Amino acid sequence: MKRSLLRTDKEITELYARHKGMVYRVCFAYLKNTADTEDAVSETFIRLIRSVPAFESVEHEKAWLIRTASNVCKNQLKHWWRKREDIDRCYDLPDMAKVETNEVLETVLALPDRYKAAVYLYYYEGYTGAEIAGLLKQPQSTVRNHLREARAILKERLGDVFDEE
Amino acid sequence: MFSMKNDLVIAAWNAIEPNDSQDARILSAILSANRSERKRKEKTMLHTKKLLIPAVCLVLLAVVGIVGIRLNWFTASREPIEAESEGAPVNDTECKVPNPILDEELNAAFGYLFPTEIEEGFVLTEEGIGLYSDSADALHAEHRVLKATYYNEELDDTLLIQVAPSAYFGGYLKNMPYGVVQYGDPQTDGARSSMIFFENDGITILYKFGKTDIAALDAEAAERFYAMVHSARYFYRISPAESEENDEIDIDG
Repeated sequence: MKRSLLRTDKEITELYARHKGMVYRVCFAYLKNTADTEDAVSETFIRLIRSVPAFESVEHEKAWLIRTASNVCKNQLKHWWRKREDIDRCYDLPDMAKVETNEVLETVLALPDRYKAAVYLYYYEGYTGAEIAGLLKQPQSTVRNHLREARAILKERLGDVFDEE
Repeated sequence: MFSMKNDLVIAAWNAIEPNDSQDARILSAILSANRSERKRKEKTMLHTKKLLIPAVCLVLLAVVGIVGIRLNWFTASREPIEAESEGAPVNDTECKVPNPILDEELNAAFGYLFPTEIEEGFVLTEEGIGLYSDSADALHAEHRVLKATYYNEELDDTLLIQVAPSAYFGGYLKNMPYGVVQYGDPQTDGARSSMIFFENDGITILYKFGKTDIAALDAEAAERFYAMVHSARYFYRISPAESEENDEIDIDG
């Protein structure tokens, strides 16, 4: 899956289509508003175009994008005062699920920034702790601690919504 | 590792996606950046290609220059010739040009006195034939001396042939008439060199043996030696030797 030095528009469009959802969610987890998220997503893919990494697989591609998106968002958080939109504007779900999902997503998004990427990758993308450590370039012990602490916060705030299996 | 029900989390996250207008804006920005990057890289590649040919030429020039300097294509070191006192051998410079006798200009300067036929048994030594000069300007014959060193196994001796403007030999020839065998100072082993000069139109040629007495060559050897001397294109006819040390040698012909 090695890429040539210059990507065609078709290749870029396909790559964007493959990963736009994931990159968008990672960025939203950090930035929590659509305007900044849109900028961050654009910046992530533009960095890919300019750095021209040679991907060996789709998973490698995904890992690179997750890491870059996280870094882009962290940079934005350092330099911008962000407005926080009401989470209700971001999606539209059936009423019954809406309340719980609102609460769950709101609670997840309210987690400290350092937990969000790990929580998203673990629960949504299904990565293991070791894989998350590799993606985010963090020690495995750090990832385990973040997940444990995030779980404790979610359990405390959501109560019985989260059951240990 | 702990596990928990994540269906709600997944469902919640699933809702987080760019809408159509966001999608279009983001893709447009990315494609625009991609086109700019492609143009920039294509320009860089073209610029690199344009520079490649001059760069290759420069590298080739450098290689030719280095090889040429090593092979002395461009210059040759020279040191002044020091005139020797009477009776002492003439010192030569370090300048050496391979096979100069073939050079047309040098041939015109010295060739007509140099033997065209080297006697059998005389083998060019490692020193070979060399052109030496006392001036950085090697174009002027008056500053150059041609040297050829041979070895003869039968005689177990070296023969030095030198051709140069007569002024080169300076005071060395003052008391040494042409066509007469002369002798160098005896060495510690008792050997002494013998030499004979011939001249034409301001150019002198010297034949010098390391230890063989030219005057004492047997008839056959002497005939062969002088045949070599006479093979020069233009040989100055000398008068018979006047020195008592030499047999009369008829070199006409």
